[in-house]
Amino acid sequence: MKLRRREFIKLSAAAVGALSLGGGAQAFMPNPFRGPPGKWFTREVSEVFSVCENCFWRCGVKVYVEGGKVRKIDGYVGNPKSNGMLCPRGHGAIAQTYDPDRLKRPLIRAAGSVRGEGKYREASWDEAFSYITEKMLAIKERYGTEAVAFFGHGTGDRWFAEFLPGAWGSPNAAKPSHSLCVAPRETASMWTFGRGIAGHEQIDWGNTDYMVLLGHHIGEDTHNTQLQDFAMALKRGAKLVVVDPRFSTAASKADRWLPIKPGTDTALLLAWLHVLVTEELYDRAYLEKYTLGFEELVKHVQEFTPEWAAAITDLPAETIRIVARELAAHAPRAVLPVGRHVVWYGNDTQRMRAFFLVNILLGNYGVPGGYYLSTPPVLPEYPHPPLPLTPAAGGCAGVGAAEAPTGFRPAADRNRFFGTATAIQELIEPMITGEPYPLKGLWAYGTNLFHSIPNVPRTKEALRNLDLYVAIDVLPMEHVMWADVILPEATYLERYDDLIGFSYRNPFIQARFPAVEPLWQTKPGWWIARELGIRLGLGEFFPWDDFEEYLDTRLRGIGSSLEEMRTKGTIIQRGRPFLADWEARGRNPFNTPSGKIEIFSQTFADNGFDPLPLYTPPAEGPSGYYRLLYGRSPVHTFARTHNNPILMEMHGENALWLNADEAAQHGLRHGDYVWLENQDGVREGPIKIYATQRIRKDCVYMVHGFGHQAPLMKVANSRGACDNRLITYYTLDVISGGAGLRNNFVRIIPGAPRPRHTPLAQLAERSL
Amino acid sequence: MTIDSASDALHASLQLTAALYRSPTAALRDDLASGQVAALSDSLALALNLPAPALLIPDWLTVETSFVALFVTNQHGIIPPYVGYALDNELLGPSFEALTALYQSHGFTLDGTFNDLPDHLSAVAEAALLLLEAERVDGALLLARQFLQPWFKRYADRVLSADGSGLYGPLTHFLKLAFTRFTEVQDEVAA
Amino acid sequence: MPRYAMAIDLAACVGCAACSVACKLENEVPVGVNRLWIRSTELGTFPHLTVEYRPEQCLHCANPPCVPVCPTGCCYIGEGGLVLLEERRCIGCAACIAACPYDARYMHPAGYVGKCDFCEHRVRAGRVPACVETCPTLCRYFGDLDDPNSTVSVALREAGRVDVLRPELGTKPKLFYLNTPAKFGLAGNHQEVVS
Repeated sequence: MKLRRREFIKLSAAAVGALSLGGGAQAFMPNPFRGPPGKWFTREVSEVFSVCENCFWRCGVKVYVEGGKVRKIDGYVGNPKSNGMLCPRGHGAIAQTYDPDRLKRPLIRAAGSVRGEGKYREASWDEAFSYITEKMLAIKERYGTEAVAFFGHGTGDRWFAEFLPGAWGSPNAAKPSHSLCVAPRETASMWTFGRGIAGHEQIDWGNTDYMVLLGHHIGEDTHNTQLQDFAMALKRGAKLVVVDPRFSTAASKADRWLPIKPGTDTALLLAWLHVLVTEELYDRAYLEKYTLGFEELVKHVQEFTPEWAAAITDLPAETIRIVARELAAHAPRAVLPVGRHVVWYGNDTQRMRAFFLVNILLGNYGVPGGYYLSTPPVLPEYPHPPLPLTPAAGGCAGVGAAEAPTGFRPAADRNRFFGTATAIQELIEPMITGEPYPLKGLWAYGTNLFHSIPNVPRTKEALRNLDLYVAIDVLPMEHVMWADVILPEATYLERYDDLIGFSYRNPFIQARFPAVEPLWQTKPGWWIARELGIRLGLGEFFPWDDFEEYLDTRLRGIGSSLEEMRTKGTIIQRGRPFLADWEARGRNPFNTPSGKIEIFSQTFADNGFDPLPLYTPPAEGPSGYYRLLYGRSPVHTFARTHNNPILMEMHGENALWLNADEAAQHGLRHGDYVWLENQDGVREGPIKIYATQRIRKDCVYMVHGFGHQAPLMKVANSRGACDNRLITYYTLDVISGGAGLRNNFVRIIPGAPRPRHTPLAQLAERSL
Repeated sequence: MTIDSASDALHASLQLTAALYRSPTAALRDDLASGQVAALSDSLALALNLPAPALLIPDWLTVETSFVALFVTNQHGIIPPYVGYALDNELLGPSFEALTALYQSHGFTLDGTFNDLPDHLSAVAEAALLLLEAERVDGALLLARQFLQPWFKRYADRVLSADGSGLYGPLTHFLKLAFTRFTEVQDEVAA
Repeated sequence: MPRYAMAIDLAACVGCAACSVACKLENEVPVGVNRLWIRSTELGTFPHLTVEYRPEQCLHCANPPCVPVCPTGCCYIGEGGLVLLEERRCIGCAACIAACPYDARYMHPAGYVGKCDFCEHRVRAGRVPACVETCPTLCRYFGDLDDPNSTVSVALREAGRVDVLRPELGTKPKLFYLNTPAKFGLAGNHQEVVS
């Protein structure tokens, strides 16, 4: 009797009866612990160029493959991002590719189940695509193409948050990296300099002599090149001042730490402007040549004395004065380097304006030792018909479309704020209220909806209201297991991606080559996007069918080729980093309405915003509550890396930084576990107390990204606590659309139980 | 039908393994509905002097979602259906490499439509079946003892306690007992 | 014959653990044990604070207490003064683990001892250890102490302060810590440890 079965193993005719097993059988006794003698580097190793995807810095890497497995990832010297070095996340990324918890096959939510219940059945890619297509067309029919929102982050967001929504016809494409990260600085920079910051922060660390960091966690955020540059500057003897309510890693390298009261940085900046102006320490020639509006600034800052700021910031007036004078003394090789995550209190665009103004008065913008001017790379698109809609997603790569789309409704977050790029958190409400028009579909590509967007209960309610929710991801994160269709992407080590161009001092282009075949039924993002695009009737926008041909064509446009890239990994082009370079060619880098750096922003004035920044105090919390601050761990990336046992071994649990005296008042010792309850009564925890001298008494701090409620991720689940679940309230920055996330307050409830976790070594061995 | 030789008993066990741990397809659905699976396992139980598994044949959606929860998303703890994992505590480890070397020595190639790891339970069972049918009993036994039995030994009880479908739990537990028999009874099968 | 040594500039180290993870992957060190780890210590009181980030690993002592206690002779001093061990001859008795005052050795789950070997396989090929190559703050130096122009010799000469761990034990470590931010020498173990 036979059961029906699909035969997928073929026995080649030559082998039938050929072997006797006899003694040979003994040779195959598997030893569970010792592998073959000698380590991987003693055997034959091949190398492949790729680009790391374990954070958004995206260093060029060399991937070493032996025995069909990735064994090591290193930076390489010819790559301007890695320069032969790599951060712990880059090295540790291998564990993610071989993570048994990875998404393996397309899954479709079981009919009759509710979103979040976690009941799925397997589907072929074909069936998954058909399901999605049917629902997409139904939404289009009933609500219009704008009713589908596209969220994305990562190299593939080019397809899912830019290209596909542009082809499909939805302006509601958003990247969390815009309004949950850089939006205020991009908007401030655009309207001050006429240029964005756009990705790699363009600081001339190699020539600067005096650096002031404002809440910029270099060393805890391990943006490889920035860390290298920062370290070299310090080694060279550059002076460092760190302004932060917490004694961060960067603060530990500083000549001065200014433990500022949270939320008052703008007052400090205004006081510095006051000193620079009233003591005439500004760069007069620079201001005359390049800027407009200095006269107005002079009048504006008269009242913002260091004494005024001291009372607000809790910093000594004399220190404030001294730092301003020291900045001026080192100018123009004195700089306030811009950080990345700047959505703090809701008034952040104005703070960034003040921040840039200090730099301007030092005359450092476009000058060695200050800010250089990034040049974008030259890299032609693969020829395709123009997209019906210009993407408006912004993110680290820019500010998004300036024009409202013609022939389509504007993005559903319009009229909430002035900036032009979409704000991801503002696209949640339309999913619930249907205002200004309903959003009924959502694609989430590599975007952790529950760890990034504030007000998690609101996000969950929104998801429940959708007709279609598709998640494209690598791991079974909590938000992924709410989707109707789960599409498993191959990890970056297993796939090609589009070319990555970096605006830089000397711009460059990087290519990603697959090191190993995709495991299970996972597929690269470009393939998913194309297959879906074709089924949605958008095939004309994907006029290539071979991705290698796509890459090769783009590279030939700059006189290179895929084969050349395979041997080089990176192509470097020439940039024009300083004002002198632009002037030599008779070009003006400042794309402002006036063509000058606008100290005074007429555009802001015309739109009802302060044309020069003012200090507005942040919301205060209830008595007995602490302001909740958060930040980064050097071995983790947002909420992405917490199922990685190698990285979790380095940092397996976040702790709540609480001032030691405050801890003593609560009767808490270092290592005690507590609950946290925020101003809206939301509880989170247990979390361990880190009683420390390194933080002020009015705030607490925790590293972001822990506290996963994702039982399918055996390492990540329940380790540490989640800051985002406590961030139920946010203050919208009405200029940029950024979500100010640091106006949440928590009280401490002692006596939480110590969590019991399976030791990581056991989990890495997975002998549960 | 009766199973009257140890070789046939091994064959039946391997058939059940190959059929059960693949993603549920129409073939399995038919075999369940027609009673073939139940009949085969009952005959096997009789032959090995084991209690027959008490199988429930649930609705098809339950079969699909249970399979995903048990063996794809690992909802009930790590039960990856890869024999190498049970031995090495990692994917693509030394046992995986030993197994693929073994496949190569037998001249096995994987069909291009099979896109899962070659140490998947059902693949190993398929390979063993092919060997058995080519009368290479030693080879089939080696795969059963060295690779399949350790997986069942490690995970069968967990599948039984986690499974709510009434199908995977009892059958997995039953197969554990069956494969243990082949490991205990060294030489009878070769006869 | 070179005399290999390593120096780590603690003024530069930010405790990012890139070295630690690179080592794990380079040397197939399983989760649960470490050849290289970061010890960070908070010192001072608000607002006069400092933090010492200190990577720790085998110090390749010139006078190593681990070598004489090994019953099989698999622990030995190799070329260049690297303190090495031959995995295949290790019987897992753990005497060397007990003898090392720096916790540098561990028992591999397979039953043999492991520790940092300054990536001897790389050094033999003329490369630096993986930790040195990858450090993004460029705070690690490795080379020949007997060559006055080697990066490690230059770094030692130019350092404001040079320390070793527990010099009173007479082990003569060849891993030197430069420019510790801690005022009175390397932060002691009795102080609050963060990681």
